[in-house]
Amino acid sequence: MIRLLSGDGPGGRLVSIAVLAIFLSLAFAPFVFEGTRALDTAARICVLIVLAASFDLLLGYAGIVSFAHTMFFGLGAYGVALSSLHMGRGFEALAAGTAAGAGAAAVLALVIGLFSLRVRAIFFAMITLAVASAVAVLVSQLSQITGGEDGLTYRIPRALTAAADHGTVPAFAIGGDLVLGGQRITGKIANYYLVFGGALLLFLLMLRLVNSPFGRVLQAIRENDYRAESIGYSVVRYRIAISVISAVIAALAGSLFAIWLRYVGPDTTLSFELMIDILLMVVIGGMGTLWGAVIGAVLLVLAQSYLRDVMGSAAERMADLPLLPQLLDPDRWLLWLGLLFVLSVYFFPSGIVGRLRGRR
Amino acid sequence: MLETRDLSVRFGGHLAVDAVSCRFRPGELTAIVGPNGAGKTTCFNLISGQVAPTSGRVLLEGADITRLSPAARTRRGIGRGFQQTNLFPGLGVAENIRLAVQASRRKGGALLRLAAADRTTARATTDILERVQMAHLSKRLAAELAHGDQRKLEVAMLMALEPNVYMFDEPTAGMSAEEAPVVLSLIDSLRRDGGKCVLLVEHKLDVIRALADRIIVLHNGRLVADGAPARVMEMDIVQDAYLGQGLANV
Repeated sequence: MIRLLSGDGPGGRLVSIAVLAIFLSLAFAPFVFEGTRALDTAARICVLIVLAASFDLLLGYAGIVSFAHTMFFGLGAYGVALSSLHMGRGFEALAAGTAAGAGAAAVLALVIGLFSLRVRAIFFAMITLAVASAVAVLVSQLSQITGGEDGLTYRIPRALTAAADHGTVPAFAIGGDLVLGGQRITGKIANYYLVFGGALLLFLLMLRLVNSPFGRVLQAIRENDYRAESIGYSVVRYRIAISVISAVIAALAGSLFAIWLRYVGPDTTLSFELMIDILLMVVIGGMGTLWGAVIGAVLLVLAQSYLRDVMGSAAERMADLPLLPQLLDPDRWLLWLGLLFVLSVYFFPSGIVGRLRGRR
Repeated sequence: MLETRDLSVRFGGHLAVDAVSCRFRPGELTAIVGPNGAGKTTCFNLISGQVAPTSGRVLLEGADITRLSPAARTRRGIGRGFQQTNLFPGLGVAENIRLAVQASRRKGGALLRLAAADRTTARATTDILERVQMAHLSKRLAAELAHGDQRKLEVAMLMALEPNVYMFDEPTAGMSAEEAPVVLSLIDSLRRDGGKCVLLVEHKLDVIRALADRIIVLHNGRLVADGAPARVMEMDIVQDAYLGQGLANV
């Protein structure tokens, strides 16, 4: 277990419990939570954990600020979409699209890195912003290829859709009327486990990476790049390497997301709002620890998915009171989300995980 | 052997280092002295690669290293310490040293191995911690150390690189009277037992007297004296330019 986690546990009892609860919820999501919306939220969480964690590789571990992370995410997603459209539905198309997206992300990240990271790390932030904006404009303009603002819908292998039936879970009677299992395993659930398994694998890989000699050098560079260079590490090479690795992982997350959604569009994969979301996940969860990305992604996705519902029911309950129902109107949910962010950054400057670990 | 040939650097209109030519031999400890602003640290920066020279060359074992990056020079065996404490503040003491050991063994590129599982690097790290008498501090963050301990960690990191040329920039500055001898005897042993080439920028005359085989005097970026300590300290130009009344009092 510890070996699997690369000897880097969540640290702190509260964080460990939270991470374990998240893992179990995601692992058994199709059988624990009812409805497609819950499963969709779970899949979204899996993908965003990987995306946020891969962004933390840059921001938290290497101290590099990038605004192009969603662009790489989009490359992976569009790769799957385009290959599925042009090669026809099938697992070969998914594999080819995933590989092409990851390859394109690697090449683009390498070029951006070679041009900007040689100069200064802050220059990288500006270049990524420019390139990401250019790509977003290109995608919306080249509508013959990318579907423009409408995006693309495509078909994925039937085995991964709700129509497919992969049998049922063996049922266990626990005693009395309580029965575990017995649900039908649809292709949708198989698809979820593809996303979950892929995300888990990528996360464990990243955990390994940050605890490797390479990962330690990244932290040294973040702490003091001048000294890292003077003890013999070629800082530029390390920075370029991690930006390529991080881009490839983001693209792979994008491919998983595209396989799950069966749709790609600028809003879901390339938008600047998504970039801000990822940044918030990493900052709120805690920079410089991958567990922070897990906590941050879960909190943010849950807040975005369910805050309106919670507020709606709260507003109804307080219908008789003055002012409060108006404040809690579901249309005000962004206001409250914003307030939650400000408060969490104010009270947990080192992130939730950083704070809870510090108290250990 | 390390050699500089007509090494010069100009910052705007100011000639900070002016045609310095010098050879440094293994097993020899050379103290570089001079008043503030004489170009001692700049000279160090030129040799270790942090600053590129306007003209002139740096040679190591006969190979021209003038155009190499600081990292590449370190990999070739030049270990540079800094005047201002220059550590990885948010990392532990042992991790600071471990990173230097890992650098000298070129193990930083391993992506999927676990750093904690590297026994030989860990052993070398422990060894150095014990040599500098800092084993009890191994878990502390570098930023939390007392100033003297930070200076000692700086020296320890340099030793972890196992270079052929050691460059110390006022290694005992700010250290207490008890701490300084530990570091100085370490430096002495590098030269005496290890046969290493040691360059030392130092202000304290007692340290220079005790350690130096040779003194180089820089003044306004120029090399004005070079030779055995006893001889150099008596030279008029040294008396006037640098040591002045200071020497008379010692």
